[in-house]
Amino acid sequence: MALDVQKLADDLAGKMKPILGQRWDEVQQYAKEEAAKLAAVLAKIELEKVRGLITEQQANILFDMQKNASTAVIAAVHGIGDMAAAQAFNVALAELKDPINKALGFELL
Amino acid sequence: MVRGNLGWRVALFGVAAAVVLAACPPPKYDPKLEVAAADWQTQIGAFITDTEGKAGTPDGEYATETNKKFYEDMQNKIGGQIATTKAAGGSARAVEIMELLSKDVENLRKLHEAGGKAGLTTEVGEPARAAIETEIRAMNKLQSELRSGNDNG
Repeated sequence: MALDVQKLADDLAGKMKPILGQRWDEVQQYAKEEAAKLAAVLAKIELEKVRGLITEQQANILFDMQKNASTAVIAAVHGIGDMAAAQAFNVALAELKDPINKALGFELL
Repeated sequence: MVRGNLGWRVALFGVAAAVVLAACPPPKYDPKLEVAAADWQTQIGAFITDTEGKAGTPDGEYATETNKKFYEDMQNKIGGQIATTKAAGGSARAVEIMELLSKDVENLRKLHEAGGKAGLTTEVGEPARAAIETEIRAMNKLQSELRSGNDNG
């Protein structure tokens, strides 16, 4: 089942909003951009896994790298700490774990 | 009387803490960090390009001494810069980003190792490159904020 990238990006950003709380207004542009990048990477991972170009282990590592990169962007651009940015991504992803894993066909999250 | 002494001590402690906090300088812009980040981007980018070109050949396998040494050297460079920045009272956020970069150099190593005889293919090398370049751009953005005096920590 193919991932709906736009919906996933919107869902991720929507889950991050309450976690970032009062900081949302200042970081929303970057949070939305990074949520879109994460969703795009998930879709690419799905495609390459289906084609047999990458293994589950490689998929996990690549996804971890994108999460780190998105965390660095949000931490750098708007004065929120690395931990807060990472927590926002992790909580948002944890809440969307089941539909993402189901779409991918293996446990990425 | 005892209670009175305690009150004074608490008040004095508060004043002392305020003086210490006020004396803490804001994080400094460090031009060496910008140079280091540019070097890392060049070195990691060149390594990924070169290794992708050797994918599927013995020289492209993780197990070669040259490849293993690259990862060790990069970790030493990033780790050294983290220690230097911390010792100089530099930006805590710069340290956090360098720690994320260090994690992703390790992730790149794992991807390379997991590739076995195929080595680092473009399918894994390119998204890895994109993630690392994003972190270095984040570092550059932070440095530019520090240069203009807008960093918050």
